[in-house]
Amino acid sequence: MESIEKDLIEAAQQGNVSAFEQLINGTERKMLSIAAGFAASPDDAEDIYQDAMINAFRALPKFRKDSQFSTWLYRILVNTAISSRRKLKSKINRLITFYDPQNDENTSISGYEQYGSESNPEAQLSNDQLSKAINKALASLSDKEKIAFVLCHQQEIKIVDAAQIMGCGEGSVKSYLFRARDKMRSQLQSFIG
Amino acid sequence: MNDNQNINDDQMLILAYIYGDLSAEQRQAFEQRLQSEVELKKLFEQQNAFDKLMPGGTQPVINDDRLHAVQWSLQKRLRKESNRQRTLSSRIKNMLQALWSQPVSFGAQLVGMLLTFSFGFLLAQSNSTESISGEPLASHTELRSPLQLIESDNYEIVDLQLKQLEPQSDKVKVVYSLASKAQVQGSITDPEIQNLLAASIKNDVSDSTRLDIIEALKDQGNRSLVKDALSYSLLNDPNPGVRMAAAESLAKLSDNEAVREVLRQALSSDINSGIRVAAFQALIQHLDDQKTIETLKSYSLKDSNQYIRDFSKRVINDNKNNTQLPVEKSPDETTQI
Repeated sequence: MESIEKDLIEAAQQGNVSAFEQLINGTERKMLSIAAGFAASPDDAEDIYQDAMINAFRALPKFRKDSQFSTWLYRILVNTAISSRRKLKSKINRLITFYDPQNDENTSISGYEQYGSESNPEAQLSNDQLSKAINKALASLSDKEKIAFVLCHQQEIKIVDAAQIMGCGEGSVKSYLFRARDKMRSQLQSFIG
Repeated sequence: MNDNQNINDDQMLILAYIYGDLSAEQRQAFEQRLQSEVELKKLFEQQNAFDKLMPGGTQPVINDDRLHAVQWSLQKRLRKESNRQRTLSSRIKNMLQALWSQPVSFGAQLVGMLLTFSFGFLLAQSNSTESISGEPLASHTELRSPLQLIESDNYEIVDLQLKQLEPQSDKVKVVYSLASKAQVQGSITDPEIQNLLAASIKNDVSDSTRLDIIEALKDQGNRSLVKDALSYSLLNDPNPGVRMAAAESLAKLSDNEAVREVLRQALSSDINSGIRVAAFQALIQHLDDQKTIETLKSYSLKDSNQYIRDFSKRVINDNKNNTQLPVEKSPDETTQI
């Protein structure tokens, strides 16, 4: 661990908010994107991300410096997302049941995430129907399948790192990933052709 | 090994290939198998079709506005959480949690518990069943019932907490503070008034009050207490207007190295571009400061604000060539709060 990061962690563990903000500085977009992978809507994603950061700030005194800070942070984010997902599961089902994109004037800012490639904004998928289908397919995954898919496929985190975040073996991550892809593929079959 | 297991193994291999989990030799071996094994190729193309529709890296798009709004909201929540943690009961609770979670002796844990009980007794109300009596507010204050004090309109209840409520025994323990209204009049140059205002910034006062305080103190920065209060506001206040006022006040004091350090922190971490521009413009008055140059190299070259990025580039290049730059005003771009 770099000495700067170590100093910031020690300061943050004493309750220094600025130190904590410096620790998460630069990772917010990625973490918000991970949160969005679990959320039913942009608002939910923001709540998940903020709740996770507050949980991390509270749990900082327990952080043991034998693991990477970023791995620890991602683990908290993922756990917070799963807790939130369980609470919102029935609400998600209602949203999917009653949402009618044809009657929504603001489909571009409606209650679901827009998907695209962050590395190439010009090539961003603008198909609202596909985005909705992706969100629906993601909602059908189990918690572990979703985590594996969001981390490895969406966020391109290495399987070995995802295994550390998920607290399981690499083989397990691959199994969850395979099952997630299988389910997603069958749900998105009409788009694959 | 049966056929099912073969398929499973091949599926795992395909995943490892897709997600870059194979070594160079393994990748080569896999690609050779793809050319010769029809079944494997079929499975791979199945997976490939999915990746064409949803390539790796396809993720929710987070635009700058959304990110900044979330960052600002989180900043407020973190400060609230920090304030909450600083209350006495949280400190005791954290101390106990730390004691219990560490492999310490039973004796140390017992001492912790005894200390907590003792402290609780000190905080508790007197256990009279006939009337509620209050603690004196100050040694010279007449001992009166708190309800009388509140009803006379001289005091108000703040931070009331119901620590204990036992319905069976009707026992209740209430902890509260009584705040009296007070008024001070004088000159802003008076150190006592400055001290009061500087201390107030860290208390639970409204955004507009904090802004008024910064405005009042902005020309009094020669005292270290005021400097500290302004620095605290720049780095911690959740309201960008307050932070901007603090940045502008500190800019006038940027001859001081400690102030420059605070401005550098703001430049590297404030989420609001207007505030970062204010810090930047103060810091570039002192380009002989190598720490500033290092901050520009580490953070400002990647700043989302174009003025900061462009000017930083010039500063760093000219620093290499050792030439002095004229100080420019920022363009009339949007640097809103």
